Amino acid sequence: MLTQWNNVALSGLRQEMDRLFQRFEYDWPTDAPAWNRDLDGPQFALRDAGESLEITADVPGFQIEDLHVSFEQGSLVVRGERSESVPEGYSVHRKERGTVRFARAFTLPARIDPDKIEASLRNGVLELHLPKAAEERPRMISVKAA
Amino acid sequence: MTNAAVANITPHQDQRLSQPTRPVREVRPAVDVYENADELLMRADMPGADADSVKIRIENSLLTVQAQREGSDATLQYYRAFQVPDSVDPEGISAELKQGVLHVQLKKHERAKPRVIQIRST
Repeated sequence: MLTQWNNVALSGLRQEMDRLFQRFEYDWPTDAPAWNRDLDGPQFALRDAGESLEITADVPGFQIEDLHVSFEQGSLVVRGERSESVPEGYSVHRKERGTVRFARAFTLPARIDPDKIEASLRNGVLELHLPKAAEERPRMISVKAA
Repeated sequence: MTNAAVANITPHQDQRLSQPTRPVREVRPAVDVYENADELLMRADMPGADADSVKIRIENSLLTVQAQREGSDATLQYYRAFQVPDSVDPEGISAELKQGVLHVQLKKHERAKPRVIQIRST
């Protein structure tokens, strides 16, 4: 009967190699180093929370006045601009954080109530709460014995 | 297979079982570093970072900054390390997390600051 050869030293090496390759197999663009990710603008995430849709965007260093959220013709539109200028009198050793200017439009997977959209900025993350229109909310259907 | 045979199978020694079930993903934040006569300034993009989790260390001229962000299915670990010049005073390091950006101020030793030397004419 064949038994699996379990060499602890080798499995440790295999795990190290797996970790090494994980670092190179980026899930473009989410895992890529920050300066590569800027090509697509801030990272967004959309989640269906049942009664609502939740959208977040990573916008570090943005002020509230730099961001514009609107609901236009059935699409959610998020625009923003952040300018990062060198403080006066300082020389630059490293500059990875540039000016960011973006506009993203989302066709949403459910109908939402535009009057109930809430947007807040916390710790450099834009959080959008979009309650679904009444007819889109999940409904429990009871099964009757026939 | 009988029940006894199943009970005797030794589980494969998988080291991953001992690790926390919530994966930790390391992310290198984008960083700006500026310098003037008095200090170095560092700004790192760490959106969503928990202010209580910010850790800044300096050891043998190596500065490390890290912070954590709790995501829905993973913990994100922001991490960068830098060599800083000897002119930096380890006692003069302060940091603030503002709007998802970590601002670190590294003051220089007094003796490292440039001094203008007067030339006397004789």
